[in-house]
Amino acid sequence: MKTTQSNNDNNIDVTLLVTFHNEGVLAHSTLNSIERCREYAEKADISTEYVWVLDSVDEETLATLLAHPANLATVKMIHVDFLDSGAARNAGIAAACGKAIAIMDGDDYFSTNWIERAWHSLKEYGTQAILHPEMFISFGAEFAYGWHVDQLSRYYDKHGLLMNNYWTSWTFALRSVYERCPYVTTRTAKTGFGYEDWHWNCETIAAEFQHRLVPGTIGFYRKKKVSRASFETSMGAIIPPSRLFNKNYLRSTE
Amino acid sequence: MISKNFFRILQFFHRQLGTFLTLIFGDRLHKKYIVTAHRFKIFLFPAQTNPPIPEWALAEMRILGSAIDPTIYPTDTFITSSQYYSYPIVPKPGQIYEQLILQCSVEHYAFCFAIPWLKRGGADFVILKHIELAHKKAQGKVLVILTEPGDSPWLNRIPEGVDILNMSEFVSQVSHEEILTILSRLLVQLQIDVLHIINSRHVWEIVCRYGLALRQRTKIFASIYCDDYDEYGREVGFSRQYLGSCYKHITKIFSDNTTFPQLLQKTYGYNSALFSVLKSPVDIEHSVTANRKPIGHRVLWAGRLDIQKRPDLLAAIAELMPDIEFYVYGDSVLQSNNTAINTLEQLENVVMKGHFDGVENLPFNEFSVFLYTSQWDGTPTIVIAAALASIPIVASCVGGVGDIINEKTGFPIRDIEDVSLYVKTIQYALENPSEAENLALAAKKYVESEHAQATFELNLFNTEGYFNHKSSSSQEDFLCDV
Repeated sequence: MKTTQSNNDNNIDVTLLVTFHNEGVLAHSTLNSIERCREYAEKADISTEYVWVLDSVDEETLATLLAHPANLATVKMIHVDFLDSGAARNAGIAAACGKAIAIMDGDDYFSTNWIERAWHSLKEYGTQAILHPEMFISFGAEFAYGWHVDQLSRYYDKHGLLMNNYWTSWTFALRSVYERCPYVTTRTAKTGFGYEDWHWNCETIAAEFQHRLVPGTIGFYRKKKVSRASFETSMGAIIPPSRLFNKNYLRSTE
Repeated sequence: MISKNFFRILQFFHRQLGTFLTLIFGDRLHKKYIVTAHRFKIFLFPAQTNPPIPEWALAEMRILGSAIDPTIYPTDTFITSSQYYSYPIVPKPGQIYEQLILQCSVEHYAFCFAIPWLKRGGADFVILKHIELAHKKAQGKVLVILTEPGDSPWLNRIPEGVDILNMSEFVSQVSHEEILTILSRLLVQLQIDVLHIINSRHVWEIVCRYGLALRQRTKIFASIYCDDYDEYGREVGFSRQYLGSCYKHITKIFSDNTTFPQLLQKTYGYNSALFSVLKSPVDIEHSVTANRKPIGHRVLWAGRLDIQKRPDLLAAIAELMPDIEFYVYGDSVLQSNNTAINTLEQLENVVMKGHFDGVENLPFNEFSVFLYTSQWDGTPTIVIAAALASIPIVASCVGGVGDIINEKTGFPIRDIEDVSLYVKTIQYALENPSEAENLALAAKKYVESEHAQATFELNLFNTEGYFNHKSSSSQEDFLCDV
């Protein structure tokens, strides 16, 4: 793992952790969107840092990132060769200094207020909260919209997590949450396990964290013709063992 | 309800019209049509309309659409073509899963046997032998999952201390996909060392889909016996349907006979190392080995009165031998042949004895000949039991029967449809009792050596990964530090 480390890591409020694979020029627009979030948060006196994890990125993506105006000396750029979202995020978490971390993918967009609202919501909800944007809007190969599920809403039922994931991978939580519950490394093609975000959601719920929504915020999901999720589905992937489905855990919650 | 139906009818016409207009006038008109139709929909059917994208979100989309990417600008087309998505909350499968896993007495099992049910039959007898041995070696760490709907009269034969999960009672409550999810989650969470599939369709399917994930922790074994046949006479069965998709995930496939693995290797090119012949054990202690005292010229037939066992052949043979008494033990379990059963019931020289509880309860000693007529089979327990009881055997030479009954050990019938051949052979055996009894003794000797419990155990102990399992990954690799 090769890290381009910045200085001045003290007193960072939020680490903006963005993972890149082979997004190509799409990474440019994503960084434009995240830059808007960052500037908006900084104006509200929320200090931020960038951690960019470059997981086996192709040349075009690398060139795009290096040329982006946000690529200043302060960006912690981490080069890894995992080909695995969970492992890549963990590498970024290890390098993060923020009190909180926002997990973002290198080809999505976010409402300008995402980081600012999430930071304040975290203070309101408490340290056990894991936050998601209230709404998601898909674009690209398919247009769709909807609302994430708030764990405290009547709609939520933990039994449903056996069949479906309720949340996208965009999360915002204290760094300690990610350190206590790291993402699983799945390497789907080799292990048959996948959906590291679904698994992470299950693990964090078993660890008594609460997935909550940040009102008035949106994540924009770029739907590709062939996405990682559709690859995992075609591979017949399932989520790895999770404490949420363990006998002893379930007995303890009876 | 009327409004809902009317909405659906209009929706159908709307789609057809949309396609038609696009074909004739192109994409530009189609876009206008979609927007207009959407406005009509909101006006006429507010109840059928999904929650719209709220104004605050549209405002942000306009800003980002201008500043970042026009693709997300909320044009009329974007809004009207956007599908509302609601995360499906389906709690029932999760509730069933919870109910099942809470029945488990431990968090991890050394052995899991995936079986359809436990009826009274040869394969079920062998299943019990496997379970007993696993229980002996890994007490308190053996799980049996019954996966298909159906009764299991031999469940009480499973040793105490073995956990049993009965999926069959839930099969009607959730979809097939949901059952597969519940089962696969159980198999993943229970960190099973050895999964042994014996005739469980659901678990065969799971190994095809999720075999790669399962085998990260679990060594997968399967038992196969023989083909079945469909109404076209095609060979069907688990080996034909599933093996091609999942053989890479399976450590070893056991077969109780030499013929079937050879056939699969010849047909599909599987490596011979994938298979292992594991001859079914017999309960020598409980088998019928008392002195033979045949009463007159009587023939014994025993088995399921199903199509596979060919009760029609039995009826045809009995009809041609009116002077010989045929005692028929067994009832119909799977697909019965009612015509043949009716014929048998009407024949004066046939005595229908009905259900029998295990081969050890059959009176082999009182009969001169045991007749076996199956059209296909593995190595039938009933033939093994008959050989052990030293009764002369006339048998259709199918599947693994030929491993036991040949010209030196009995009377194999190679053209199994030739009724007259059975008749002549039975007649010969009855008229030459000394020769027949000597052949029967040779069959007994073969079975005592090849089908002994000790041989069965030794074969399993020598099977790499079965009793000497070493897991390649542990659940702790995937869990967070709580």
